[in-house]
Amino acid sequence: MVEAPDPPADEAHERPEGGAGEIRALPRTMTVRGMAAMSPSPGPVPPSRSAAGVATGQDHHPLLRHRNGNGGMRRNPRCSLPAAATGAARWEIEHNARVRRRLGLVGLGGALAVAASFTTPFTTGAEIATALAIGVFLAAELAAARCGPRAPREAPPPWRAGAAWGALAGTVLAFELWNYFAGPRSAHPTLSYFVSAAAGQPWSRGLLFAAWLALGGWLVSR
Amino acid sequence: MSDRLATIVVWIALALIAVGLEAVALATRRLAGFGAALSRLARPPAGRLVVALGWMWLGWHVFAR
Repeated sequence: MVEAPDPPADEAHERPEGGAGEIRALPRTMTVRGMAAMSPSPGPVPPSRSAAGVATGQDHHPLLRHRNGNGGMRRNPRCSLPAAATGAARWEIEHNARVRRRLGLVGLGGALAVAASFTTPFTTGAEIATALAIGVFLAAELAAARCGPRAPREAPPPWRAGAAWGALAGTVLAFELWNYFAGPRSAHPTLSYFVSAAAGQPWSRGLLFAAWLALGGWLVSR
Repeated sequence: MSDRLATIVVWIALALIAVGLEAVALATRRLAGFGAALSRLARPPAGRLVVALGWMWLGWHVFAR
């Protein structure tokens, strides 16, 4: 019997008990304040959005620091859901919005990758495709910064745990520069030489473009 | 050994080191994997700016110029 794998950290939102129907069951005449008052519990709140998350610095983005009347912290009101949406209903709304957003970005990225596969460097078409991708990346970064982290973040590894990667990156950079200035590209190939060779075919160029977009999407999600 | 061959051998060695680091990170958890290290770098605003600019430069360099 195959066991289901653990959900990835990025999908660490736990679905609260109860269904979205708990909101629909309320009288239509109920006001938002009344609904909030009768709600027994707001349900589990991800640490990044809770007061504890703020206290621990997880909800640290400057755009999120809107103080309410009690001196506490809350999220940017432009990103807030209706006050009535609590618990399972809130989870449902956010989950659906997240799925729609991801599907839209994946579709847009796929279209851009296909378009980029038919271009060649140093042409206007290549510049437009790359600039569009960078524009989408910047828009997604701004939106993410405005609305704050969507998932609780794992505890960061200590700096020394990544020291080996830093040393390797420094070595690669030094070797790249040495090759760049050493002489003819054919005798001292740089990373760009290999990448250009790999992106020589439309399909490989499209795949590389998609991989680059996927890396950008991953960066935005962090 | 020609310059070209020596250069390619060094590039392959560096790639193997990267694969080895990732394997050690997965096996022992004493090292950060590449993704975790990149996330750590992108955590402070200045680091995030550097990583974002690096991503943009990479795409422009490879696909546009």
